[in-house]
Amino acid sequence: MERTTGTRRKLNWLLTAAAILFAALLVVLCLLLRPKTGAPDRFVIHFADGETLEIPAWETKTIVIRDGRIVDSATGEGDENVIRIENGRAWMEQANCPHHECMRQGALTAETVRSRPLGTWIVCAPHKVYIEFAGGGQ
Amino acid sequence: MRIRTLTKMALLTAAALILGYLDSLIPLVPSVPGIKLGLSNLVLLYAVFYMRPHETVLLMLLKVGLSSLLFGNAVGGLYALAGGVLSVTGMLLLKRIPNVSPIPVSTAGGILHIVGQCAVGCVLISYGPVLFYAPWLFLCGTVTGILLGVCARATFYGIERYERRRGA
Repeated sequence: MERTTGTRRKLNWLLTAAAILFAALLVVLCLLLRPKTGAPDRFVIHFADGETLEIPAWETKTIVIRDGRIVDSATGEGDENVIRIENGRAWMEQANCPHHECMRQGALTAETVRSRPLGTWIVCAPHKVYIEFAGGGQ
Repeated sequence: MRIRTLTKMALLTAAALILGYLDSLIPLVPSVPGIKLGLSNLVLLYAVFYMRPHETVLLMLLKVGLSSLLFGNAVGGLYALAGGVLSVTGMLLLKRIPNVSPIPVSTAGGILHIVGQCAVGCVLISYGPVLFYAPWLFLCGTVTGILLGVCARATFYGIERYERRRGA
């Protein structure tokens, strides 16, 4: 039986509303499951193989990572990321990933973690290199 | 596969690749990676409504494979594949409801695409950054899904009117 225009419209509205509700539930779930951290005091660099390197937030350091390993200097070869840590700030200074999205994520500081969309993280997904601003609560 | 279908698939794949490339040039929120308009999903929506399910799946696989080969890398391809498989499956299932419009189909597709990407993110990275990132992605996926659905509805209306006129 052919549906009337009114019924059809109602069905489409209901389906769209159900999809939006599903997305809203997932958003709430993510917000509830977010880890609660204490005052961030160290930067944790996560490497592709699961290894991590912790650096106190007050240190000043430039870390060059090529193909998942720390090297002395940047050459632009392989999967390379240059991370700068300075006065409680960390940012991705350089990366040769396809879209340089990690470089556009801005600096991690105690002030910006609440307003940054990625919170306490800087993510370079193509190179699987992540910087986390971790706190005492973790 | 018939020549007509083959030609249509080739044209749609090319259109999806071009739209996908255009998409990567328009960063919606510069500080949040991966947030895109999803223009190439318009092509997939067309396939969901006007082609056979297996052709739609093949189109999605071609789009994901070629775009990660041309403009991305293997890791990006994995995210796109998971999102693509989940969103196309969801859209094909919703399309089975009689008289369904492209708006709910596209909205569900956009949301399921993000679900797939977040699942890969949890496996490849960890759930930590995904939990921060996901709400933005869901918000964006829902809004762009609705917008693309509205565009698709207008486009499909035009296509059907043209076909009717040509058939008359």
